[in-house]
This record gives sequence, C-alpha cells and structure tokens, in this order.
Amino acid sequence: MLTATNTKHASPLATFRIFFGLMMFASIIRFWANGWIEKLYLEPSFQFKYYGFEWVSVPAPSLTYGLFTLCALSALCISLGFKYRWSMAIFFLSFTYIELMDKTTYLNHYYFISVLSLMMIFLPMNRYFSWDARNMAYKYVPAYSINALKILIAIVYIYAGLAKLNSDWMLKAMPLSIWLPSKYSIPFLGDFLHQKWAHYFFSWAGAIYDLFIVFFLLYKPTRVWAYLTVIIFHMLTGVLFPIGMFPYVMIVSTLIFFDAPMHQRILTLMAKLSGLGVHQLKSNETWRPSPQVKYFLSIYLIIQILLPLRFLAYPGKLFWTEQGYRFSWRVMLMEKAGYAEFKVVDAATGKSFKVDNSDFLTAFQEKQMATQPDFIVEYAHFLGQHFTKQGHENIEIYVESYVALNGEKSKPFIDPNVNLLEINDSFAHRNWVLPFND
Amino acid sequence: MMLNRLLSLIFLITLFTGCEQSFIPETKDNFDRELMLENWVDLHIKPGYAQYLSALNELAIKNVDFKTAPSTSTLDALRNTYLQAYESWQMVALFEIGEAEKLGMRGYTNTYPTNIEKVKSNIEQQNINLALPSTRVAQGFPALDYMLFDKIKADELVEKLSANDCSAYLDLLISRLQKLATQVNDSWNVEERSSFVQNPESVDRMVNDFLFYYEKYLRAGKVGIPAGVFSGDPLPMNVEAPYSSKYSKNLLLTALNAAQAFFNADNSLADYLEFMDKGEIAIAINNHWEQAKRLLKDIDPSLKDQINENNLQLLEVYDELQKAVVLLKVDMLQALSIQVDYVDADGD
Repeated sequence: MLTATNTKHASPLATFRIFFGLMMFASIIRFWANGWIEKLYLEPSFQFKYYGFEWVSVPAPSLTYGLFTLCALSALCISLGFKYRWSMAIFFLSFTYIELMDKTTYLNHYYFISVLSLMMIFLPMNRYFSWDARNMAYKYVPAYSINALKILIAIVYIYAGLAKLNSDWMLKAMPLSIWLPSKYSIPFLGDFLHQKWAHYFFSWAGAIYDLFIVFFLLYKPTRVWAYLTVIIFHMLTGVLFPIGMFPYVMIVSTLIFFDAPMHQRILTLMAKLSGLGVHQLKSNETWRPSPQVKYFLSIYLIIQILLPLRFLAYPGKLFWTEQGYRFSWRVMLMEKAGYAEFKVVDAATGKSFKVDNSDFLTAFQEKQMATQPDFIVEYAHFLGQHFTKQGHENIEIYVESYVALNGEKSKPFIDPNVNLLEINDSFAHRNWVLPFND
Repeated sequence: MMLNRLLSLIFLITLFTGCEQSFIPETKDNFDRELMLENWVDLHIKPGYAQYLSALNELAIKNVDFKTAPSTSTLDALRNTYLQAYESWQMVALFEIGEAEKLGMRGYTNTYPTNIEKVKSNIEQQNINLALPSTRVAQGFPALDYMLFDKIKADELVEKLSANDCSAYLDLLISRLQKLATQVNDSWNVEERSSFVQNPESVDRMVNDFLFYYEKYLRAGKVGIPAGVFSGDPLPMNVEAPYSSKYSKNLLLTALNAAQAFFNADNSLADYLEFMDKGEIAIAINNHWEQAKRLLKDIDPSLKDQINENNLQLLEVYDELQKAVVLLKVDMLQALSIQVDYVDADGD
C-alpha cells in the first residue's frame, strides 16, 4: 500500500487532524478536571519507571501543570493546523513524557496516542483546510499518507483480536464473566449481564469484531454498516468499562476509512459553520513530500507489526509473567489481582521486619505493583535504598506475593526465597517468577 | 442518502431493543445486593451503634456515681462499664463509613498507644478542645485505659481520679465518646439508610472499608505491630489497652468475631461468594479465622504479657490473620469484581 505512487484527495487527513486535535484537547482537560494530575503524578512520592527511561521524572508541580498546558495547547494548534509540524512534535513529546513519568498509569490507549502522534508528525495533515494552508492549499496527497493511518488502526484492531484467541477468553469467557456481573446497575443491560450466555456472547463478539472490522471498513459495500458497528461497539464498551475518551477517539479515527466525498462534506459544513468560507477548499495542487518519508513510514509500521510478537521469545504463560505484554494491544484481556508483602532482612543478625506499602505507594500504585514482576523488583530496589539510607545495614529484601488470574485461586507469584536486591530486571527470562502451572 | 440509511438503522435499533426489553422475562437471579446492604444496616450497623451508645451512657452514669461517692467499689463499677463500652466499640469499629468516616471516628475513639505526657498536660490545662486532630493521641478508650488503670495503690487512685482536674478530664473524655457515637447513631436515619442501600457503589465502598479495617486495625494494629512484625523488635506497650492489660486478648477476640459475623451474616459476603460459585474462598477464609481463634485459646489474656513471655505464639496468630488477608483482598475481590481502590482512573 505504501509503495503506490498514486495520489488521493487530502480531505480525510484534514478531518482526521481536526478531530484528533479536539479529542486530545478534551482528553487533557478531562484529565485535569478529574484531578488526576494531582492524584496520579503529584501526590505519589515514588514513581515506577520504564526500562531505559529512568531519567524521566515528575517535574515541580507548576512545571507539571505547565507540561499539561503545553500538551493541551499543542493539541488545539494541531486541530487548527497552526504550525502543524511543530505543534505535532510538541504534542508527541509532551504527551509521551507525561506517560513516561510513571508506568503505573500505562494504558494501551495512551500508547496508541504516542505511536500515532509520532507518525503524524511526518504526514501532510496540514496541507488542506488548515491555518498553514490558508494561502497555499494542496488538494491531493500521496495515497500512502492516508494508508499509513489505516494500517496503524488495522494493527491495533487485529492484534487486539488475535490476543483474544486464547482459551480463557474464548472457552471460559474470562475475564468478562468476572467483570460483567458487577455492572448490574446499568439500566436495561444490567439485568442480563449476570447470565452465562451474555459473557460468551460479548467475548466472542468482541473477538470477531476486533479481528474483522477493518476488512469490513475497507470494503466499500459494507463500510457504512461496519462504521455503525464501530459506533455501537465502542459506545457499549464505554458504558460497560471505565475507559474514558477512548471510545470517541476510535469512533472518530475510523472515519479515515471513508472516501473523500464524505470528508469533503464534513469540511464544507465546518467551513460554513466557522465562517471561513468554502474558498479554503479550492485548490488543484498535489503535495509532494520528500521521498524519505515513505521509507520512514514503512520501517515504522514494520516495527509496529513486529513489536507485539516479542512475547514469542519468552517461555512461560504470558499473562502470568507479562514479558512482552505491554505495547501489544492486549486490551481488557485479563483480570489480575495481587498482594505483595515485603520483608526487610538484616543478613548479619537474621532480624527482619515487614513493610507497610501504604507508607510509600498510593493504593493504585500498590495494586499495579502487586501483579507485575518488573514493578515488584523496582519497588524492592527502592525499599533497599530507603532503608539503607535510614541506617540499616546488610539488607536483603524478600517478597511474599500472591496473584489470582482470571478467577483462578490465588497462587504464590514471586519466588519468596530470592533476595530481590540481587535481581536486575532486564529483557532476559525472569526465572524468579514462579511458574503458573495451569 | 447516507443520512437516510443511518436514520432507518437507528429506527431499527430502537425497535429491536424495545422489543427485546419486553421479551426478557423478569427473572431475578442476580445476587440481591440491595438485600445485602439492608442487612448490613439493619442487623449490624444500626443495632451495633445503638448498643455502643447505650454502653457509653452506662459508662457516663457510673462515672457520675464514682464522682459523687468515690471509692474502690464505684471505681470497679466504672472500670467494668469501661470494658463493656470498649467491647461494644469493637462491634462497630469496622463500620467507618458515612458519618463515622466524615468524623474520623476511629481515630478519635481508639488511637493507641496513647500519649501519656499529652494526657497529663491536658488534665492540667483543662478545657481542651478534643475535636483537634492533634489531640487524638490523648483521648478515647486508650486515654481512659491509662487513667482508670494507673499503676498506683487503689485508694490513691480513687483519690487522684476524684480530684477536680482528673474528674473533669474523665467527664470530657466520656462526653466526647458519647458525642461521636450519638452523631453517628443519629446519622443512620431513614434517608441515610435508603440512600446507602440504593447507591450501587455502596457494596464496593463497604467492602473496601471492611478490608482496610481488617488489614490495618485488626491484623496489624491489634497483633502485628505490637508483635514487632513491622519493626523487627516487639513493641509490647503498643497493644490495645496495655494498662488494664488483661483485657487485650478479649478485645481482639471480640473484634475478630465481629468481622467474622459481618462476613458470614445472612446474605452477606460469604453467601455472595457462594452465589458466584466461589464458596470455597469463604470456607478457606473462615478456616484461617477459626484456626486463629484456636491458637488464641493458649494465649495469655494480656497480649502484653504474652509478647514478653512468648512472642512466637502470637506471631502464629498473626500468620493466620495474614493468610485471610490474601484470600480477602485477592481472591474474594476478584470473584466479586470489587475494585480495590478509589482511584477512578481509566482502564483499558
């Protein structure tokens, strides 16, 4: 698709840009209004870092708010197409920096925004119906710049669908059997969310949707129906699960599958409503980006296709060890709950004491920590430093941890006989995670 | 053209959902959470507070008796009602929700170890405002425990407590407890009850509060901290009621029984687990509690003495209470799909 030399009407990119910018602006405002900047970034005294990004830290409160302001303003500029490339780059950097500050808050949706916005820097989204194009608009862009967006969305959906093809999801209707009954208070739906058939129906429908929706969107005769399915599916997930803005982001993003005429109609309407006038839309030029862009996009998308497959390199049950779990579009895939109690031992005297996690972590951080091996090791190292600073010597740190996965009985998680201070987490297989034994 | 199609589809969907609604039979095989909430309020929370309040009123009466006729026998009567009120408190300490949560009742009623220096200076200063958070360490049952069980000769203590300054502070401590209990007791009126019972979030909140209490105040506060689990060395003076001393095991047992009764009550959490085909979790939790109670039989009535004599025995009790924490917080919460925290952040 990327090698095609043909050109396409630029209007789909323009609507995508406008909606993307508005959605991101609304997301940041919502995040701010909910008090999450304070709660998730400023209140915790300790942050869990991503491998290789340990240098990213939460800035002083005023700067943190400044970072969110910058992110929100750049999103507005993107929507307007004002200094688009700069705005897009600033948005990508500020948004991604925020995500890197604490991996406790990792969500596939946020990762999607980062991946998408990095790619969008290199797409000619501002050549038509934008501030940047107010004097010189380009009506046509290389087809690959639209196709790149479609491919990225396809990657997200199809991998999300493939991830659902496991025995827990398909044969046991897990974790929906756990999640759905607790939504009993939802009007109308709530009444049958308790029933087994509903759990299976939602599991199978979700898998089929994720796997095939892109193909129905690509195929013109089914497109309108597929898009209505997109709306229903995402609105339903929005009602059932606390997933914030994501349903709207996907509903708007998938508009990219429609042909130019519909986008032109949207833009004409916008032009009329905003008083900009339709002349903005008149042009017959073709935008020709530098040829390197094509190669960059190809490599970028190939990486995106390969990255979710890295779990194949590790032994053990993926849901248990979570090696290769993140950055792979495994969305709403498992229910994991855990409990981890750390023991600080003085190796010389054998004396020990337990740690009250709430002294260092928020409830949310503790919850995330207790089920993810990399969090547990990172936290243990932090405890080691903390208690060494307090004057304790010859410290060893052990953890007694239990995790329940998809409704199974809780089982010991990390080897309780391993001194976690001797573990340096890396991309190597984690032999200190106890086997799952299905 | 497209708009037409869209409209017709929306029409179809409305029609479809409209039909479906009437097709679904009115079978209520959902677990009746509203009944669970009603039972909690009607059979545990409200009677618990009523009982606690009347125990406090009794305490206040015996305090007046002692004041009017100070003697070792009126002091003994006062001490007995103190103990009964403290036991009644253990039955409601787990319900820090609603008004009790707003008031921070547990903090003002039972923060221990009490700060002796602060109690002494409060007695001297008189007219202390006990609503200040900084005074939590010098009021409630722990302060009463220190005052009523001061280790001096009985007749000297009678004299000391009947003196104006001490007597005034006893009045203040008891009326403060009464005030808090009255406020919370009154808050569970008809409107509060119905808004609690009808709020779908109440189950999550109540269970979270219950687990928080069990883990922090029962497991850690009453056993783990004094047994040195979190400090390396035992802290015998951090037991509950260290001055009266011989009541501490009984207070722990009462609290554990209250927690267990709440869990096993009619249509409560154990039944809910059973309904979700996870009855074995409830059985396992009860097994650990029963084992803890069996072990407690061989434990000194004074946990302080037990720690000084044989702390390992108490640590065994702690282990059983701890094993229940894992089952409650991991297995039960997952089975009932109850969120473990209040952070309402997005998921994916």
